[in-house]
Amino acid sequence: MSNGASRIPDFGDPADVVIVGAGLAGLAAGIFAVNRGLRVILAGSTGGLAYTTGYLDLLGSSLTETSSYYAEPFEGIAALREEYPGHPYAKATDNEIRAAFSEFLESLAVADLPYVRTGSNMLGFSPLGTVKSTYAVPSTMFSGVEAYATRPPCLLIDFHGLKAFSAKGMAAVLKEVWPDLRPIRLEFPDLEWTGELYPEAMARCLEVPATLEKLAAIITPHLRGEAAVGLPAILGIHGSSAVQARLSALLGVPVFEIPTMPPGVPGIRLRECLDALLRDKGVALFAQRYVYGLNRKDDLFHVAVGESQAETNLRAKCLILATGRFLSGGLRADRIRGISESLLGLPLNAPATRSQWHREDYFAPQGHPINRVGVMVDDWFRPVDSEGRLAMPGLYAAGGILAHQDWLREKSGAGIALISAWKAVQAMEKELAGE
Amino acid sequence: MADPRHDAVTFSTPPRCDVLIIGGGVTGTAIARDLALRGVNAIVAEWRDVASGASGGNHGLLHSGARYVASDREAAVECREEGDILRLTAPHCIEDCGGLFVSVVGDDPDYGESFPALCSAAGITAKEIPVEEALAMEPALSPKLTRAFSVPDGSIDPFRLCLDLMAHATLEADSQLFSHTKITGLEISGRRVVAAKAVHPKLGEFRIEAKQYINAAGAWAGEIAAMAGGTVPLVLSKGTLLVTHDRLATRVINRLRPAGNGDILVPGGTVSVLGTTAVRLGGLDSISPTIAEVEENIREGAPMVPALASTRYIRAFAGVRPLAGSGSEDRAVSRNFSLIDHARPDQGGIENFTTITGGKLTTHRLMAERTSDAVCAKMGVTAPCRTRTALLPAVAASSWTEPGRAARFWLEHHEPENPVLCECELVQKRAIEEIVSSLPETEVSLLQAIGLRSRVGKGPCQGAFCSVRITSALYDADAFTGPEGLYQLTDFLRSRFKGQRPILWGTQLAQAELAEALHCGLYSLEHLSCKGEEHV
Repeated sequence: MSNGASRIPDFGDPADVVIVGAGLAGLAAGIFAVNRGLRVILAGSTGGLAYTTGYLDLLGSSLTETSSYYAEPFEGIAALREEYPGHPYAKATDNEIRAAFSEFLESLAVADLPYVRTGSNMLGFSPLGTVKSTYAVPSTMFSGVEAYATRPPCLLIDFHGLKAFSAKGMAAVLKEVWPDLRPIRLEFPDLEWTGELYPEAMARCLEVPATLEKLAAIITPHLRGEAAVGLPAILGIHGSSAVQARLSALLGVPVFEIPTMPPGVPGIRLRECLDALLRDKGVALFAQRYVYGLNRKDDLFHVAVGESQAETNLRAKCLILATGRFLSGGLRADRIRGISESLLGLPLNAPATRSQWHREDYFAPQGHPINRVGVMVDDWFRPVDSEGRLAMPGLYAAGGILAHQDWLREKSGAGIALISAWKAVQAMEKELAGE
Repeated sequence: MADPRHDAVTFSTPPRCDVLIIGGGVTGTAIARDLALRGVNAIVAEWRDVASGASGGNHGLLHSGARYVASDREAAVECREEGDILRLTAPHCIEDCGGLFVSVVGDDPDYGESFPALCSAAGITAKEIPVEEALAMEPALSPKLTRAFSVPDGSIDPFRLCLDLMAHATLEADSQLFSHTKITGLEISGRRVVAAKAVHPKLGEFRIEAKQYINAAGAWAGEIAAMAGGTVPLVLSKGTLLVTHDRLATRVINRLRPAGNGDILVPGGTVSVLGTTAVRLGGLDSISPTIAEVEENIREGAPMVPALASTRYIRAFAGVRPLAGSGSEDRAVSRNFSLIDHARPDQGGIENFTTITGGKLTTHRLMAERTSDAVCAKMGVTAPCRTRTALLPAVAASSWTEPGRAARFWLEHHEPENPVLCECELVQKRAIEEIVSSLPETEVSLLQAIGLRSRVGKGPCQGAFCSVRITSALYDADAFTGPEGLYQLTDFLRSRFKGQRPILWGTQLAQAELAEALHCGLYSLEHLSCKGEEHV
């Protein structure tokens, strides 16, 4: 792993911290670190960020025999701490979790991507007409949350050519609980017809005021005094809340976005917004790079990164491992050798045999054991072994790679990313200050 | 048991036919076609869908017969003869890729020594190929190769075959497939069956009346025969197979040794299928492939094709071979079939009830011929069997099982109003519409039926994304009026997972994580089963 690192050029002076992984945990760690005046290098790929709905979950579901949604996430978190003492939420207080969310959402708001948080969970739409319990939603989606709660007459729009988004399907699925959803299909204006529409292209089109006005003119004749209008998440990449406000004004009725099948616009918004924020604050970004080697010598971490081979050696006093799980390469699963952490071979809480990785039933309400395998950490998110011994100084882990959580089933991905990044950065700040 | 999601309706008058065939595997559908070509109408009652049992749960190997030359010469000869007939009458279901029998260092040289003479005695052309040449023909073969023989093996698409057999029967004699129709009992009066009791999730309980009743229920034949006091000596042998992400060899690769685990690798269009294992079953409750069986296949297959140890697998599946007889070693039990006339006093004494079981995919036509001969004789039908020469028509709606067909269609036509719904295999909306319009009225699970009749769910994503797109498209087409489409989606994903679970490591595990992020992280489909749409 370390060969190559010595032959490639160093990047600048050693930073305070190098963050490996540019998913939600890595990007949030970058924000928290620059907010505290640390010198930051961020390297890695954006992982699953394009696959998000844009909803930021805290704790949505319980994983008992009958999966159910938590209305109050902190009630669920209290129960979770009892059941899984190693869970990332067991390493933070409620107030710390709230503070991490606040700091992150404030940064997003400053970067013109406002979110709405009520303090309780909300039910947000999925494009199949199911709903998901979440903690903070993009402001462009909040009218949909309100509409779902009261279920007034609503118009639901889809577009000819946009796959896996059927207004008719959503209305059919929700018919019993929400009879006054009226689906219509429209032609999207100003895009050359090639047979398929892609949310990102539609969103960039709607940033053009004339196109937005055309869309409003197409929708208006279909309005029958509905309380709100739902459409796919395509209201601009940048300045989406302004695009939404303008369309609502043109129609005279609140408009809300519904996430599309990924890769979707809400994830692109988050990534572009956070990238810009970090760049503005002087973070050295090595986006979409692979990590070819990682080691620690002479009190510095050395990370060899590049696009197709090791090109640059990044150096820093501390390192946050936010490399995610199997899909993004943070963890590996081998048929013979079992599960391992990819970069440092950190100790994991992995079951002994492959037959224990998955349950027989795909949708088993308790989730699959493999989803709880990950890097074990102490209360400051420093990797430890099963005896609680620190893996190495200066090393922290954040996000999906952490052990004892199942973000998929718990609906806890954003919350885990934020609290682990937030606490790791605070601990690191103290470590760097020599405390 | 009727599914509570559906309203039960009942036939006012029972459906009637000349012959009721119980079982929609390759035997049942081939009998329906054979009878139809003699002017005899049939209903095929199948408790799941066509080719859902052993007919679809095998290699798809069109045997040259060489596999059986040492153990069962009669079976070897039957395979050779039937293979030749199928190549002429159903060429569109066959890839005539040829096969090799190979041995590697450590294999018993005596078996290879006797192999050419045994093949010759069964009339099978086996030609020795120099090792260097064999390695050039199939670079995936082990460098430790010691001998290689070429034989006329091929691969056959059992799904397309069954669909086309059924379609031909419908065309010739208005024969019907009653899918998802479970036969729960036989009404007997004197020495005759007067009706079969059936249950269907939408239609509820009803009766089917026929002149003759044929039990072609495969592994379930014993249960059906018992309804009329008959017994079927059957050995149930579970075989697990693995599907690779890429096609590793051009030809069928067989291990040149007595039949054992993991010793055949058969091309299936764009993939290769490795198998099998053999596990004796006491019952038919749990027939999902297991991790131990996956490991056994890889351990045994890798000495022949080393890439099998490191290649990416996308799926495992299992079938239960109903082997006629009651021998002790599963592979020693004859692959021949048994035809039982239940008029025999020791077989229930029922005049119009016949059981056909055992056999092989390759010999399905012969089994159908013998069964139809026997049943026609009972009915006084004198028309001869025509399936030795009659061409099997290729039906458009069943052509989408062919790997690459959808991709070619897409490239050639590129129609704007025909979007690709399955991006792995490039299956388009129009193919889905064609399949849906071809489904019998008894169909209850559109996604499963589409999966069986197309490449949907067969690519690297194993249906994770396309199933969602297709569900949305079906809602657009008014196929569902309530949440039923989502229940079908979760059923489909559950059933696909059974085949993925034992091969989840490496890249395919990452793929599965993405799928779960979509299904659970985004759509919360795991909540559907408990209708948890409200906050607690």
